Amino acid sequence: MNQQLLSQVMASCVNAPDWLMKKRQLAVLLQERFKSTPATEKIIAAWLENPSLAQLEQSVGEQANADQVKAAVPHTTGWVNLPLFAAANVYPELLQENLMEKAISWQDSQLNAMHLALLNGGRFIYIPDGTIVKEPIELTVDCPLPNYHNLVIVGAGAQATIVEHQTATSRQPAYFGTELLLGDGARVDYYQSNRFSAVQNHQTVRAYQAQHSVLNMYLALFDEHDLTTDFYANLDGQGGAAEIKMVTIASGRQVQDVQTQILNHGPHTVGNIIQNGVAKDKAVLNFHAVGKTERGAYGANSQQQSRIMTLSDECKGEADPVLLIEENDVNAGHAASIGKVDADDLYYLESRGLSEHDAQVLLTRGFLLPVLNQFPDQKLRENLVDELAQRLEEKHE
Amino acid sequence: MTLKINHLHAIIKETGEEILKGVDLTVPTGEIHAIMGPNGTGKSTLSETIMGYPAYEVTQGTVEFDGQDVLSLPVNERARLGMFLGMQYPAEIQGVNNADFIRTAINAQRPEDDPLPVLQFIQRLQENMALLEMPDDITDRYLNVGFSGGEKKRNEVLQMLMLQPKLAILDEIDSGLDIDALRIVAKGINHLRGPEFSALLITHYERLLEYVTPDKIHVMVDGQIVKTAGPELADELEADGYAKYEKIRRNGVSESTTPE
Repeated sequence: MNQQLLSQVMASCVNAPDWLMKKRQLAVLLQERFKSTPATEKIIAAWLENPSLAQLEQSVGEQANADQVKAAVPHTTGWVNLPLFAAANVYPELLQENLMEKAISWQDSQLNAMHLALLNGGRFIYIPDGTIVKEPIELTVDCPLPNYHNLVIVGAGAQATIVEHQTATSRQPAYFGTELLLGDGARVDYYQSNRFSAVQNHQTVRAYQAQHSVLNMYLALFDEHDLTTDFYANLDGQGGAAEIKMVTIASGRQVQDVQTQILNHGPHTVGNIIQNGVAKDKAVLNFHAVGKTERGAYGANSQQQSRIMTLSDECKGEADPVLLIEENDVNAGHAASIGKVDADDLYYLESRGLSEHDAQVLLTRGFLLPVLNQFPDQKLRENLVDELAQRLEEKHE
Repeated sequence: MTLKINHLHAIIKETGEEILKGVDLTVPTGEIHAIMGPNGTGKSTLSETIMGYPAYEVTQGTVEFDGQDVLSLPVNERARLGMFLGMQYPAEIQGVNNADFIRTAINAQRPEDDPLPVLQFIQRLQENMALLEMPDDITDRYLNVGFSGGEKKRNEVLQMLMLQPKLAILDEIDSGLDIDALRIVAKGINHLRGPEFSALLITHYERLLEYVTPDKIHVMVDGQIVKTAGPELADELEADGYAKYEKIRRNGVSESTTPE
């Protein structure tokens, strides 16, 4: 079986540089050594049964080109936006050094190793030192293949806004991975609102931050399929700051398992996680938030807040806040709450003529909006509010 | 559009304690009535029971509005009959914009295919805010969140003016207001006064009644109405307090006008 997968991977690497082919072969071998976890078992099994190794650029070349042209043309002088596999040939050093090495590690888990081995495509965004990209960079794709990966490198002092709105159109479980590498003093606003089609999916956004870099991550998990996530910021250099703000909805029989972690490694780093989620129907929503402050990260600040609102008796929510602190001189705090809609609030709205259903929808919106309203992009915010309204109105048996 | 309460008994669900012990009260269309009485006699419970607050349970008696049995209706249906309760402690609701909420509430009380046009809504909102001397930004803020006590009360009156109810029950709408705010709130109530509007004011003090002259004043003691008279009763209560009526209630003699 493995031999077969190995040769399939080799065959799919026709135009790839040698290092990438070897790395992907190693990934095939490595993934076998991990024990599979219940969370990833289904995904891996589906991929092994049908590895779907086509390259996205080849299979939907025109679309990828149009996508590329849209974002790249106005800025060709200043920065780079290429299909990932094309970039492997054009920028071999940058990719060899960074692709699934510094932010998402291909050696970290079976899922990551498989993701690299079965990689179908993605984008490479490179913003050189000191470049300020004013227009948002849109990562938009309808992806019919399971493994899609973006590598974003923002050089020292560079600034960018990245809007990721990708749709996985395959019935195969999808893994969307995005790596954000921030150089000294870089600033990135990153938005994500992805869609899936398979029953079970995974998405990872991991950032590596050099000193004094600032990352704001805004995440909306509004898709209705099962999802596991891995959101992570590594505040490696001193004085870096990461803020992760998230809103989620789980409905029907959906299971959302959300891992969010900020690592304070450098001194005077600031990490802040704010996540508000709603569970309705028979859904399961789990928030695992970790703020880890390592020894030597003096003057660090690590904060997190997880709130879940449950709209039915059958849904389940779990908030599991963890602070791991190895340094004495830190400021850390967490808050977590799980609860129903407040009965007095409901009564107040009903006393003005709103039906119980409408009052619940309004209160649920109200629960998510204070976080959603912090997303600075107005157009995106409005779209998300519309999506949110739809998800709340949906009725499941 | 008469509100008719007959021999109403209500308990606190959780403890079983009886708060309303046979309330009889009629508020005819076009009249403004006040209920006065010492603390803890059930005035707020009465207003919340009429509106359907889920913590209270009616054990006996009836409440009718315009001939309809109110007690069998869910809270929002009562509102749709034209009843409005201005609450003593309005809820603070995060993430719900004040103006959006008021518009949603107005439209909830209209047929689905006939929402209030946005321009008309804005015009009415501005008129009423001007009447209540409210700052512009108050409608952009989240519903009652971070409002001062006075702002909350004014916001209740603003909602009343916007919803144009047939019956407004105002539960201690005057508490915590300074004299200017009280005058403004009274102006709001008087603005709606007319043959199609009735109101029930719940209050401790006669101060509000100097600005909104009631047609009738009822004195409530220990879960019952013990006295009903004209507006002059306010002066007597101001001078002598409730001692006389507490005594009457204890001795089991009620002076209340019995409903026909």
